[in-house]
Amino acid sequence: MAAETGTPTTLTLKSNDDELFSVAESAAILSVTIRNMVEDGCAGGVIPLDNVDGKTLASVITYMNGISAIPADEEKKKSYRDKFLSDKDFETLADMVLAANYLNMSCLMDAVSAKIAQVMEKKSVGWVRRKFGIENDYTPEEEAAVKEEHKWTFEGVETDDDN
Amino acid sequence: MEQLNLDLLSEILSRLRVKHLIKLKSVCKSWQHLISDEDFIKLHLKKSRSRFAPLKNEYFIPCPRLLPPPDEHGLFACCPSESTMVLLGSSIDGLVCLFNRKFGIIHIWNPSIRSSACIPIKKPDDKIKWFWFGLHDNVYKILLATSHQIHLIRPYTDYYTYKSTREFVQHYTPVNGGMGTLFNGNVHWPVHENREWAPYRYFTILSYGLIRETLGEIPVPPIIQEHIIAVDLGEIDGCLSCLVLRLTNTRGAPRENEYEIWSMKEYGVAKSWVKLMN
Repeated sequence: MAAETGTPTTLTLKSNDDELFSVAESAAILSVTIRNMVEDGCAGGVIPLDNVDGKTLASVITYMNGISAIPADEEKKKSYRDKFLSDKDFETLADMVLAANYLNMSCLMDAVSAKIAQVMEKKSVGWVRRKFGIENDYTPEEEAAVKEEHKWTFEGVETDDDN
Repeated sequence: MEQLNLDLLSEILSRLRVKHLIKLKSVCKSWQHLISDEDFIKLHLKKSRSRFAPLKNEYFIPCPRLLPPPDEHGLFACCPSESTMVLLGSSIDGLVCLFNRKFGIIHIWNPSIRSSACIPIKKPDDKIKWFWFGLHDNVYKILLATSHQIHLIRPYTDYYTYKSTREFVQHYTPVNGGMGTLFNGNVHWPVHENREWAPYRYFTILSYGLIRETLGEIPVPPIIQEHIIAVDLGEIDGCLSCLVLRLTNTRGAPRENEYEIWSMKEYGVAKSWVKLMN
């Protein structure tokens, strides 16, 4: 362990598409899932992360390294998170929320959920259905009734791509 | 993004503002169920409360189960003109509660979902002097009091108690417009007590226990009682606190406003009042 030898311990993480990543243990244990594995002594070799693909894992590791380099300053951490997420598209954010959940990283989970909510705010119902892969199970009459009931909530919604 | 389970979806949707959330009821049936679900509503309210800007009125409880369906004439229908609107009001969790003195009707208004409900109450015997609306023990409650009566109403259940109390408060007048402050399970009102023998009106604090439904007084800070114009109560660092405004009365000098803030470190203990600032 790092504390005993004085040299930083590095972990090797493996994505579900068999990419390998090296990451400092001190950063990786931001994930409670990984921390538990380390504490249980199952982190000797390669840690397989079956629910995360390589592209997403690379992103998560960038985040782990970035956020753990910031000392305990909530303001700075927040602005790092904002900046980190600012250029991510919806699909990436969706992958990250699943990864953050699987890795049990509450700070990333919070930030990504909030970002997704922010992206969704002004989007049309059709956009939301497409992005979330949801099939509309209302009959046209039912849908019209639901929309009519909450008509005022459609003020200011982007109409680019929806009926 | 089909793998999103309900927990994750709730996590994301609970961060949306109410208007956008309600719009999404038309996405599909399961989303409509989720958004209307009581546990989800509680989660949303919890998230909304912890936001940085709690005063922004879109951050409100999405869908409380109101009593009767909202009155289609809305909130002010009973008030023929502005000049007859005599209202007392208070707000919590985005719900606005108004009492229409003229008609004896309580309105609960949820602006973020644009709904309102009216609760007619047993007409008070006298002018309502004291009012409070808030959350106690996870239940929204309303207290209305006249000189002789106390009405305790839980608008989201059908619970209503009404008490005539002989010892109640004809000798007191409200100092701050009659708005109550909840602390430690008691609602407090700063009042003036009209003591016949005193050369000035004596300030004290009335309290009403929401559990035992009893009225009492709590000790006031050791202040000079003269020339008090206004008193308000609140909570500072977990202690019941008191803001006193008075006019200075130094001979020869112009009168000025003077503020004091006091905090009661140990609830109910007279000696624990500490002056925080002048």
